[in-house]
Amino acid sequence: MGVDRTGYSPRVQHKIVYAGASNVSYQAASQELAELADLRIGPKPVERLVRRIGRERIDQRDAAVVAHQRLPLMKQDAVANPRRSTPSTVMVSIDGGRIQIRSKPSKETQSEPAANHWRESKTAVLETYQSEVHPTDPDPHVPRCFHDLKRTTKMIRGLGHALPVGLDIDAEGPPPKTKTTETSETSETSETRNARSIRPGRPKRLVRSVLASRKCSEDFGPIVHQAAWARNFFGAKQKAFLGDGLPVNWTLQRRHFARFTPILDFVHALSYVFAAAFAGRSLSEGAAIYKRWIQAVWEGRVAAILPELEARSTALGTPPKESVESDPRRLVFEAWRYLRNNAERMRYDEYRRQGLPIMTSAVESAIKMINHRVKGSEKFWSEPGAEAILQLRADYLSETGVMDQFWSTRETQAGHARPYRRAS
Amino acid sequence: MNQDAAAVRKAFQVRLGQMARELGRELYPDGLPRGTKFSELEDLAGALGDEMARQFIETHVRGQAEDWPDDELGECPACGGPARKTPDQPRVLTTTRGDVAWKERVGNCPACRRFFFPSKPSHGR
Repeated sequence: MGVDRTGYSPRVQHKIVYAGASNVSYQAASQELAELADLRIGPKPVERLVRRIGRERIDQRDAAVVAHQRLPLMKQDAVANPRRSTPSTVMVSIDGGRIQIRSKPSKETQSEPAANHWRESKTAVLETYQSEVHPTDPDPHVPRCFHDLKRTTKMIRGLGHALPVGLDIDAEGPPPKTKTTETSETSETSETRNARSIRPGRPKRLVRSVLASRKCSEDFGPIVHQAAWARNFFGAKQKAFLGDGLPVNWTLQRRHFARFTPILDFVHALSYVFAAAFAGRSLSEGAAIYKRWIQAVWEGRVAAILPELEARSTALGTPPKESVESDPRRLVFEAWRYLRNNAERMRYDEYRRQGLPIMTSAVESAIKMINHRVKGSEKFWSEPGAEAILQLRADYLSETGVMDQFWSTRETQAGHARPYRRAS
Repeated sequence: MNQDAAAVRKAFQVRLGQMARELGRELYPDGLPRGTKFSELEDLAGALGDEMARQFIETHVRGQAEDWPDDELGECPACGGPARKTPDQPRVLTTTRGDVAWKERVGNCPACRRFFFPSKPSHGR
């Protein structure tokens, strides 16, 4: 009948695991079960079941990865199931999150500060899109929201990127309008302004799946590879791999998604350009330069601003090793180095023409939703507990019905004979 | 099983309606008292529905467990030897409609002294 030995019916188990993986804590999950489902189940039983089901999902995931790796190399990057439809445009994006892991006390860790409980988790988002290939760039002008200096500053601070010392957009009031912005504003009617809220040519997202784990990049790569393969991503016409500038992302891309177009997140590029434009300059001077530079980056002409950045870096001088993050010399030098290293992944005009996404907002949004469950100064996880909750949280954020399928299969397989006690 | 829950509900709508009216007459012979809050009525209806559902599940699970033939205890999952019957074990399961209880067959392997729940043929298959 599909009943296991947990003492809960399959439907009750669905509710417990969903509540345990989606609420901020097991305590909150227990309260929600009582309030919404009239189920009186304490936090500890919720935790036990979440860990058990999480473990089962991890075993399934790992078995699928092993089976995928056993395939001939050619088949590993082919269409997994030709009978299922193959998406036309796909995107894989990877980023890192933070989670506190309770480590066993040892001589080494006893002397370390509490901050050392923070460890990295990995998150990947796999999305399919409906998009079209355009003869030219469908959206050649940088969106107006990126000209809003106050909003942009807030967004960059949110990314944790350093800004020049003393940059205070609020205190200095709105910057004077440059010629370019005046022209574009006068030519734009309110109608076109409203229409701009939907970026022309922007691909329409269809189905999302999420992966999250505590595994290192080397082990996480095959997990993402298998998941993309299972969704027939390798048969798509347009394939994009998005990441921030971390070299490990591009190593993963080369190793597992070599036929995907590598794209640097536009917002990360913008944060470097913004910081460098304002470094050591007045607000009005910095604003004019920023707007010119970001338009060039948006148009995929990063090579046009690299000499300017290099000259500016030379004029300011090499940043000393002990310089702070907000030191103008460091901001300009790092922006120049970052843009130079990623230039080949910044052909944004061409990506838009091909109907590909250019921002990692999907994976960042997924990380925020995962953090809602796992991240907090008061939240400490064991390694197995962390892996289980990351797996389930990602499963429930996925739109592929992975948990429905899991429960259905589990119920079919449950009820097999198992010894429950040994005679004394 | 393969019964579509929505279709069954529709098919039994008239009969369930009769049952609801009967229960209503029994509970409120003079009609619903004035001043009854809607939430009170909703709670009462939910409790009746839950108990009906709980007993429905329990009756069927019990029936199937009791009908389990003694000679189908199966084989020991450890050594594959023949199993012998031992006293049934009580079992309680929390469902979305409350707890259901029944007694379950238990097999015992005299060779390796293991107790186990027989699985073939399984409940409901």
